[in-house]
Amino acid sequence: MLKIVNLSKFYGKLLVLRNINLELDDGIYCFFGPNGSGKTTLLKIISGFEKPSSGRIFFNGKDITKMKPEKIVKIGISIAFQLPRVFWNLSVEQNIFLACMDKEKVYSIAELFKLKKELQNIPRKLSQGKLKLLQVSMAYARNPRLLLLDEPFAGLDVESVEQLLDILRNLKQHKSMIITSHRPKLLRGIAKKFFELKGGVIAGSKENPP
Amino acid sequence: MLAKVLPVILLFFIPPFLGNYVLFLSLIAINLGILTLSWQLMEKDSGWISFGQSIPFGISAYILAINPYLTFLAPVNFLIFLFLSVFGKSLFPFATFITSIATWQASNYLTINGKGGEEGFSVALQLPSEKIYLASATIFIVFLILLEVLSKSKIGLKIKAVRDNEIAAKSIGLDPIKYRMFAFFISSVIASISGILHAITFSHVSPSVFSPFYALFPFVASTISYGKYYTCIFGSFLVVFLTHALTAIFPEAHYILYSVVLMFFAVMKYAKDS
Repeated sequence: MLKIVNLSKFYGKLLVLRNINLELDDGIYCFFGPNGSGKTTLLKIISGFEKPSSGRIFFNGKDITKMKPEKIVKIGISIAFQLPRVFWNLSVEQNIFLACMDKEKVYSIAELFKLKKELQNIPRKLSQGKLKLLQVSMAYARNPRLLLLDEPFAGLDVESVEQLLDILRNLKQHKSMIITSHRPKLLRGIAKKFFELKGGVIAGSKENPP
Repeated sequence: MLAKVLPVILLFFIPPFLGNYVLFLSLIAINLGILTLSWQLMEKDSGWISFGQSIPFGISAYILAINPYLTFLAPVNFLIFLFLSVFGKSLFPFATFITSIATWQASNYLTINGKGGEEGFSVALQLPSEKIYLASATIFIVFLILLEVLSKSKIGLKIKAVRDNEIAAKSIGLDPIKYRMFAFFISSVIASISGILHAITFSHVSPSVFSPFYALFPFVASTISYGKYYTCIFGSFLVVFLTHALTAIFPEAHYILYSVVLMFFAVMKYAKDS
């Protein structure tokens, strides 16, 4: 499904990712590691929001390295950012509608992400947890083959984390995902492989969280 | 929708009964109301405050005066806005306003066959005020309905999405440039038509069409009428009539009015942001 070949990324002289080689088939994968290890940059590169300094990315055999993010979404890769990137002056309903462009689907997605009561609210009125759910629901609403979730648990209280984990367990059967997290243990039983990123390189991979 | 448009239609019925002078001022107000509608599409839905709406307005008026057969090309000047929108803010602040002032100065040197310059050009097409009034009022109502419908349509929603967050828009597959181009094009068409009606109203075009009075007019009219499509005509009438009333006392009085509105806007924005 996703193949990354010799991928490196520099910001000026700062090396963020070095020679990443990966081949992922369907399923859920977790990337963990300390701050600055390159997790977010990797997701931004896969989704087209950053361009690599060198290397190639293939999705279902197609080279997507130089594609614009809005094109990458259309071929089946969606991203939910760590910091909420939503439409602040539009209602939750309009936010989800814009992602799927299907009125009926909006309600089923809102149901799945426990946002039904919030449909008429604007994002500013949502709690941190609900805002995160909205962000993930918008990425999901594109019906992607691969969903990228950047630190989905960051800044959430225990209840919101549980809510999001419930949703991820539901999605596990029919959605491939790459999830970055500081807390890989949360994804035990959900992710099928855990990759450790350290200093911009993949330091190792495990079947179970460390 | 009808409740919003009805007061506007009623307003347009009054001036023809109040004599030629009021009719003429009302005609100016309606034409500038159309310009304000075009500005509001940029500001309200596209989230881009422009102080250079006089550019498409003035260029179209000039094209009509110089060669009426080329008037259909006038809306192409939306490319100026697109360029300024994509690069302007990073190149220099108040990009559109500075561009409109530069155009104002440059138009003083535009001469064709010995005509033009500071004097400007005459418009060959001449119509009685009553006919232009009817045409302007109808065009205003058509654009008002069109913009209300556009604002609530799927495309309108996408334009607002781009306004709210470009990265979020890209992440759900929207191309910001495409939707911004669309909004700017519609806005330029409306501003161009406003400029053409303005030129026909005066039968003459001079460099003053690019002046700060026209550049800032939509901003002032929109601000004092609460920034809604269907209320902007009331702001436009107020500014035009007040300007003409004050001119008798103090020729440049409208700039005092503009300054007060600008300060009010700045204070409100500060209060909102903080």
